[in-house]
Amino acid sequence: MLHKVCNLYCATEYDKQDLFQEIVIQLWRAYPRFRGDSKFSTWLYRIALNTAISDLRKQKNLIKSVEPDLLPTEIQDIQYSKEKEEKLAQLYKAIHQLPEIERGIVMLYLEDKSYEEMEDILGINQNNLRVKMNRIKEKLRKLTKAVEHGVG
Amino acid sequence: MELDSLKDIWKDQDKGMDRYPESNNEILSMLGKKSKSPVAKIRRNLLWELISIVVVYAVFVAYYAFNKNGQFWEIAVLLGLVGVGFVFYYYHKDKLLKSMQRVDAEVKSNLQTQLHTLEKYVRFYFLAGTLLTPILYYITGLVTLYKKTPHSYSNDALGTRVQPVLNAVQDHQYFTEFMVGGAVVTVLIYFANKWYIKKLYGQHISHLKDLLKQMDEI
Repeated sequence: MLHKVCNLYCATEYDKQDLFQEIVIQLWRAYPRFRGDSKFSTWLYRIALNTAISDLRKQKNLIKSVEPDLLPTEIQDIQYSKEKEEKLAQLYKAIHQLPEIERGIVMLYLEDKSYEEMEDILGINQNNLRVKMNRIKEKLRKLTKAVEHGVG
Repeated sequence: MELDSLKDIWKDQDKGMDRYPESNNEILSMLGKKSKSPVAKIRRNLLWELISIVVVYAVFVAYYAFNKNGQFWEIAVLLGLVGVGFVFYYYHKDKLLKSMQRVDAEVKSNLQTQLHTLEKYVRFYFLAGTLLTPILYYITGLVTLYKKTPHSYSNDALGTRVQPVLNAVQDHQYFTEFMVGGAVVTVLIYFANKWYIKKLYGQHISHLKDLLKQMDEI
C-alpha cells in the first residue's frame, strides 16, 4: 500500500524512496499513540496520505514531470499482459494529472474502501465523497481518452 | 476507460511491488535517518537560528560587559535579558511546530490544524521579529547616548534623578539622527520581516489552503 501512495504522489524514483522513508518514520513515531480507536488500515492510510499530501516539494516535481517515461518503474517490471500494463500506465498518467486530494480519493476507491472508511480517513462526509467520486470518474474518463490519443 | 474495471489490475500491483525495502535492516536504517518533512525542516532551521542568536548575543554581551572597563554594562544586561527572552520565544515556536508533526488524524482535520498552527506561528514570528529589533535599538541607543553625554554638559543640566536619562538624551547632539535611525530601522525591519516570512512559509501556507479548498469543493 505504501508503494502505491508513493507512486501516486511522486514521479521520480528518488522522490518515491524519500517519501517511503518519510512515511515509515511517521508510522514509527505515531505507533505508540495508536489506541485502536479506528481500524489499523484506516490509521495507516491516514498517516501515509497526510505525509504524502502535505509535502510541497514532491508535488512540484510531479507537476514538472508527467512524462510517460517517468511513470512508476514497477509497472514495467511486473509481468502483466501488455494490455493490462498499458491500461495501468494510462491510469497512472491520468491520475497524476488530478489534484492531490482527488488522487487520494481515487486510490481509496481503487483499494475498494467503503465510503464510510474513506470518510474516516479523509474527513470528508460520505455524500460529498460520492459526488466527488462521480466527478473524478468523469474526469478520468476524459483524461484517459486524452492519454490514449497522445494528448496531455 | 472505466475506473471500476481497473480495480483488479490496481490490486495486482501488490504482487510485484514489495521488493523495496528488501530487509528489516533497510527499514531500521530508514528509521535512523532524519525526517525530511517540511515541519521537520522548519524545526531544524529554528534550532540553527537559535544557536546563531545565542552565539551572537553571547559575543555582544561579553563585549559590552568587559570593553572599556564595563562602561556599558547596562547594555550587556539588557542583551542578556533579551537573549533569555529569545530562548523562551524559540521554545514556544518549537512547541507550536511540534504540534504540527502529528499526522495520525483525518486528512482534513490534520490540514486544518497544520494551517491554523502555521498561521499562528507566522503571526507570532512576525510580531516578535518586528517589535524586538526597534525596541532593542532604542533602549541600547538611549543608554549609549546617556553614557556618551558631552563633557561640557553640566550635571545641573541633567536635572533630578527622575529624568536624567531623557534630559541628557534629548539634548544630545546625535538625538535627531538617533530618532530618524530608529524610524528607518523599524520600517526596514517591518518590510524585511514580511518578505522573509513570506519566503519561508508563504508557499507552504498557500499549499495548505489550496488542499483545504480542494476538500471543501463539491
